[in-house]
Amino acid sequence: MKQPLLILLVILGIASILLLSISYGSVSIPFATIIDLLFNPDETGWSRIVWELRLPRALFAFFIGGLLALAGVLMQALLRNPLADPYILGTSGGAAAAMLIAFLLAIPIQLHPFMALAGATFSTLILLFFTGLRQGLQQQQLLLSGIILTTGWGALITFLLTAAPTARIPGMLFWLIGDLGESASLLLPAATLAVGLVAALLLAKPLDMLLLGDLQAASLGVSVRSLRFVLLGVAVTVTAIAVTAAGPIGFVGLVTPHLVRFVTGASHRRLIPASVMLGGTLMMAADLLSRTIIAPRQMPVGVFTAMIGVPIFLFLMKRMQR
Amino acid sequence: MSTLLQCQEISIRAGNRELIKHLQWDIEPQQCWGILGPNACGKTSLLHSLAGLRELEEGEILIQQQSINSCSRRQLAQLIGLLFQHSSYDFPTRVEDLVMAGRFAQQKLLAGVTAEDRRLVQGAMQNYAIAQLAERAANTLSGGEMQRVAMAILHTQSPRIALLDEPENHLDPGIMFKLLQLLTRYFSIENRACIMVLHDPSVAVRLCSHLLLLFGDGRYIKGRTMETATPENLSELYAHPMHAVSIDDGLLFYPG
Repeated sequence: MKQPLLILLVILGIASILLLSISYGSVSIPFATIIDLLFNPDETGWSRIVWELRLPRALFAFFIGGLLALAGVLMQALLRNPLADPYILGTSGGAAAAMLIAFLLAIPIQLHPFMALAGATFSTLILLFFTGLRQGLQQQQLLLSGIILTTGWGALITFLLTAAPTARIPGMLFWLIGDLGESASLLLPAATLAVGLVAALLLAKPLDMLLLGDLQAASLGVSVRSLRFVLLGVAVTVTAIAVTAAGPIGFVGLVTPHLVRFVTGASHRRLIPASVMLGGTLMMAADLLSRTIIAPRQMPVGVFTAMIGVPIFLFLMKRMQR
Repeated sequence: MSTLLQCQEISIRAGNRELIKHLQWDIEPQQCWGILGPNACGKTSLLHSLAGLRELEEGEILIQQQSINSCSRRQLAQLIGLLFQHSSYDFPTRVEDLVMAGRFAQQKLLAGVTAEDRRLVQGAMQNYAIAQLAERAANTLSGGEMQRVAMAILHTQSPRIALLDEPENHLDPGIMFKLLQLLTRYFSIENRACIMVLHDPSVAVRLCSHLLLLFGDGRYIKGRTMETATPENLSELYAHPMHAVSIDDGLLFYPG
């Protein structure tokens, strides 16, 4: 397909899902009214729903989806494994456990991102210590280690939930499955996504080189050690901020880059921005469905992404065992 | 022309086994070296050390009179390139884009692909008979096709010194010799040199001007091919009687 046509289609897709997200909910707002209100806000109830509730929520979903997709792209290049993703590899789990500890110890909310970052970093270091430093590592071994780590974090999380005061458990549970309802601030996810996206794009060429493997990339002129350090920093930070804001939402980071590669190939210059766009859009769609499908009740969005992501993951893994 | 690469008293160990001890070795322009030795004698470790990918246990390697430890990866990639023993690739990158990886050390980080880059890549793909694979996804290639892509990457990288680790891997006999000749000819003219690890002494004799025999216990023999590749030396090297027969353009070695 011609590139301009494709870009046009993508923009149309994003716009229509955004419009749908704003339109549907406890009250439905007609499309024409939304477009009118977006350009001419007024003091009516509908205007406030659009501007204060649904638009921020849709943007929040978009930023979280974008962050997770970016983390997925970076992890897949770093570990040279197309099935890597912060959720599968336990990075999100580490961040989530650290966040629950922060909840329980009543650590001030401003410090939560740092707690999540510490948890995500710790989990990633464990994974790299046991698997990432060896050459010729089997793909399945890496995934298995990540899944074991995720199980370990799950056990710790269950322990923390058991120890928690009963009144706080439902909120913690909802957050744990991945929840966009408590969208606190748009600024932190938006800023992190912007910085992470620019950093990743600046490193697009060396990222392509990493797919050849560390030794081959080094012999072709890449300073692999410092590159890995920077990339890991970006991936872990991006994951931690997404988890802080919305809980550990799975499978967006894994599936999105895969879907994008079918269209763009593996070149990071195209893969990175396209994955962020698609990840954000998929998350908006998942959020829309999760809050309308059993309306007036809402479902945590993580339930939805897992229901879609699990079969896709299994299918991809089968395809990789050529 | 001055010496390209100098190994000064280098030693390579694996665990507590001393594989190579105090190797003193100069590589001059236009030389083509073959490295022979039994399995696990340190051939690959030596190549990786020469490429700056492995720390030496002892000694120093100089490239154009400069220690390789003081070179950046980028500088080093302009001077020395390595064809790895096995190349595998799991992502759907177009083969043509993959061959472009050889140009990395010459390009600016944010610069696009130049016409010169494209010309070199296309030339290399023609040379190694992979032009028809240009649009293929690299994760769908066979072992032999991937080996030829790796050769084309090295050719595109165009370093002063090419290190080849078992370059005959995955290639059928029909094309193996042609491709190796192409690589060795390209890397043994002007101010370039070539060093390759080989399993078959008969191939080494046909391609290489010089040989380095590694015994795996610290000892080594080096010199011109015709003086080094004697049945006596090779029998001792492989700890098995090796016989030689003369053929049209060289010697054929076979185990007794």
